[in-house]
Amino acid sequence: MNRKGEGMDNALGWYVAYFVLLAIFFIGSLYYVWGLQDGAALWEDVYAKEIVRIIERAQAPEEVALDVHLLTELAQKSGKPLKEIVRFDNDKHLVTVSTKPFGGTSYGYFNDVEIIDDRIELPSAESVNTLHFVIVSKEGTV
Amino acid sequence: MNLNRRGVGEAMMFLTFFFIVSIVAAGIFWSVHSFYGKPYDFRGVHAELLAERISECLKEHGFFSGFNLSGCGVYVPAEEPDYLIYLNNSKGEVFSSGVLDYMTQCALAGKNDAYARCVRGSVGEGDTRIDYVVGINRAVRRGT
Repeated sequence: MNRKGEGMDNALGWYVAYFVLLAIFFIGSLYYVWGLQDGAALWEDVYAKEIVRIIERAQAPEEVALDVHLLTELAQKSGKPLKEIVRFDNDKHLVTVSTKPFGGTSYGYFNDVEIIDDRIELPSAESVNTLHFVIVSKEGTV
Repeated sequence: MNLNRRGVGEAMMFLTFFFIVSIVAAGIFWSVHSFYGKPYDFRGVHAELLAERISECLKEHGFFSGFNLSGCGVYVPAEEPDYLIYLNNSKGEVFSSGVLDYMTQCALAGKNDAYARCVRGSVGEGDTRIDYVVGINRAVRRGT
């Protein structure tokens, strides 16, 4: 009797192991595909590099307005606050674009400038959402 | 004895199951990654933009002993350099910043996609000629 009971416990253990493994695989696959389905990672990559292109070409002082309507749409789907979609790190010279609640894509620039007054404006339902920022020289640089 | 055989059979089935799930997972990740995962390759454009800045600076200020990049308005990252700026003039004076190994990668341009993208050029002529090589192998940082 004991042997039979042990056999059943053993079988249940295998079923639980199968189920847990399958659940991990299923959740992992869903998370991975969900992250890529709307191309958010690709668009973060493209926008980060295009913003860097603008900064590298800039002759300070320069005011920039860039159409970021697609980014704002992606961010709104995931509940990301507008002011956190594009961030500038003046110390590390990094542009970070993020449309998901966590993480983001960062890319660095060489132009030794500062980015100030960055904001995303949502003018009206008919026009596109625009990222505004001002590129200024760093204090002390010739 | 009978139970032992059953145990061995179940273990074998688990391994088979694990193997099949691994193959399916690898297939999904590989196919999705090959479609979406390739980043926008900006290295060549970035190298051209930096080379343009260096070139303009050399035209304006020239190449002299004590030359530094901050004088050209170029920010030099302190950690993990992913670029090369190499200058030399007709007098044999050399300035370099970044990863010198990129010189080899620049010479092998097109042989490997993982190698740095480079731009070569020169400013001035004759005795005032300055040759430059700018290479970049910058990748995006995720999760910050």
